Amino acid sequence: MDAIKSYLDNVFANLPKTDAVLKAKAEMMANMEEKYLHFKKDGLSEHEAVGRVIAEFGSIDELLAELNVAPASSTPGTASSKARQVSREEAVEYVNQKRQSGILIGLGVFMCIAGVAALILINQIGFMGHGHGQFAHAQARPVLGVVVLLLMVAAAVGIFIYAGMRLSKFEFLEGDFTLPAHLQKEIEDKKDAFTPSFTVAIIIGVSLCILAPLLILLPFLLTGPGVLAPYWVVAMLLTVATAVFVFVYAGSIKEAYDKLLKTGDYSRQPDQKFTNAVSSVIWPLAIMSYLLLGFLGDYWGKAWIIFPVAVFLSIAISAIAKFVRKE
Amino acid sequence: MTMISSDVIRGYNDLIILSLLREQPSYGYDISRQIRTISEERYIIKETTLYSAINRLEKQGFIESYFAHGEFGRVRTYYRITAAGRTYYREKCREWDLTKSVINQFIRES
Repeated sequence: MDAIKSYLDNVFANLPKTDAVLKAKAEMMANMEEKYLHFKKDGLSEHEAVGRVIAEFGSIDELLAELNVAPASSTPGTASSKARQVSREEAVEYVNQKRQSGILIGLGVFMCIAGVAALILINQIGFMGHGHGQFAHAQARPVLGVVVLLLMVAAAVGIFIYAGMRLSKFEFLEGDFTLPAHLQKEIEDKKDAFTPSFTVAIIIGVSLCILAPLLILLPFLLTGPGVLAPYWVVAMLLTVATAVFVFVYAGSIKEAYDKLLKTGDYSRQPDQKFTNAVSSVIWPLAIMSYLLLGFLGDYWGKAWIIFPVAVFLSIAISAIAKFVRKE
Repeated sequence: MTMISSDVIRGYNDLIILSLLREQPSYGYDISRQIRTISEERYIIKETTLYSAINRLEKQGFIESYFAHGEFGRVRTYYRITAAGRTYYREKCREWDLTKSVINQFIRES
């Protein structure tokens, strides 16, 4: 039955959507559907039934003459000359590339956050060793931490650039493009099939985001501020990093489908930009404050508190931004 | 079993459809099914031909459409013949008689 519908969609794809044309299409769809069901009842296979219905369709030119519709637009390159037609291979490859770049970009973001976690971890080991009087050694630790952070961020930037380059050949999707009707249908089906996975990914991501602050709060409530607190900060950062990876990966695939189908949830875009802007201010500030407090005030043992605060701030500000925008 | 070609029968689709609707109102698929059955599968009308003919007859006021529920509660577009349609049908019948007799005067198979 779907085959008949996509056949008709295809035949009517390039025709003007006038009332008369749409009425003809609906009426013929109904007739063909009943004919198909009748053939099936007579014992024909799915394949044979569809084949016969389509064989008995006739010539679209006859209908066009009757409806006074110029068949001009059925020849490619007149009505849709400016819009680039996307082929099946291109669409499939685009979705694949978006999936891969989702992994890459997610990994890059993960590395940036993991870099901060590594900085705290290395300093914490340094701070704990500080008490044993190895001053020069202890001062070298934060420097090592910063170096590790910078290396990880540099690697992440490399990954971002690489992922961007791989997607650059799909730049034509930013302009005007069209999908053939059958391809549109195929991608809609694929998107529908992906939706449950996307929902699961979002649930996992959100659960991790809820878990992250608990990783700080629970040990604090249970045992008070102990010496292990910084390690919980590290665990929290890695949890957030995992959540971000899941969001980026699933979001990238969804974005690919939305772009092809032009169904993007554009109302969400400004929120995303705002959140990104807030993050790009808060995190460098937090890292700078941490390093300044550490190097100038030698507060390595306490300054890590900045990172949970930064996480709370980012989550709170983006939540408020979303709320305000909805109002 | 040979099938009739759409070219030969082109001028008579209107007549065939009107003759069926003279019996009782009907809808798209049923009309094509009746044509298939009555002609003993020697004429199978194409979807585009059927819709074009119905559309033409309706525009000329020979048939009119209305919605009605069929089996399984599906809403169908039914067509019924109008008074003008019956008059037109009789004219077309006379034209067919004339055509038939003229053509017959030329046809000698042996």
